[in-house]
Amino acid sequence: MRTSQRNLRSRRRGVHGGGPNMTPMVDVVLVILIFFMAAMGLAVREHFIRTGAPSAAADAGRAPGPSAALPDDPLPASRAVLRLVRDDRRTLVSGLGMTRVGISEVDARLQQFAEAGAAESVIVIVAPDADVPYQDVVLVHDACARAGVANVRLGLTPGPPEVSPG
Amino acid sequence: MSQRAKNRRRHSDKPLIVTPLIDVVMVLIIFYLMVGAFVSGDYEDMLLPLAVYGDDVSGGAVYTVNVLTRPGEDGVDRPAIIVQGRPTSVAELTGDVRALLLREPGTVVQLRAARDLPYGSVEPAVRALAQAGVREMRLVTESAR
Repeated sequence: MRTSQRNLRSRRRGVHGGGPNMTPMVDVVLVILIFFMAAMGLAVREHFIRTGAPSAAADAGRAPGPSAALPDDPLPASRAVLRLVRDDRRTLVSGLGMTRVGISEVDARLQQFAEAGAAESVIVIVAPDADVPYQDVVLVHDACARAGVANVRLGLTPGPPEVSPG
Repeated sequence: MSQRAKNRRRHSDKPLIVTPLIDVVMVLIIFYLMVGAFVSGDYEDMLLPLAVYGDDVSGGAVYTVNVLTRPGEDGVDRPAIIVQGRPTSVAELTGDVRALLLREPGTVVQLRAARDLPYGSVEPAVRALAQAGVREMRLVTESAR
């Protein structure tokens, strides 16, 4: 009589080996895990490129001169300006020895600039016109970063005149 | 033994099935975690500029300025500066960032701007940040690797 009661109780619980039934929970957790793994694959990977803010002089609407130093700069630094203009749905770059070249050619010139040892001592100011797509501004920053230019700054429109390094 | 006491005893004998409860609670927790991550104010859905070079954006304390086109009151799309989910004017941005840098001088400022915007639409935000005393900022990009 006692044994049959125990069997009945254990059948009611639906447990033979003891403990809760984990199968549905494992099912749900696995589905969620797979969902997150798939979602991570589709998510956009965000990166960042460092850039300097425009200088105080440029900010006030004045173009910085060859020796114009930022208020916090310990020494006047050499600057090179990469001027970006829009022409016939293309962005053209001038500066650092380039005259109205396409963005694809900037890479090679910046590599030469870096090989000459100027990448760490010269401030490169990227000065785009107002109608230049932001994507192209970032591409020029990207090229500077790949060439190892340590100090890149954004310029404000209208861009300051080009200043030769050194 | 009364009928009521018998019924109570019969109910207390039934095992409590918690599995569906756990399932539902877990799904809700994960749903809210996901929604919380996406609607965290700093996140604005836009096409970011592509770049090969770049460091990974980590989850540290940063001040994010979004610049993207939003429909105005007249229904025409216009560039807008969005900070923590709400549109901000250039003057407001300058004041907020200046105050923030006074409070927390080491704050990292990052600019998330849509790739198809002309630089003239992004520049007011850049100018505001410069006026607020930001010396260096991050341009957020999408990895083209």
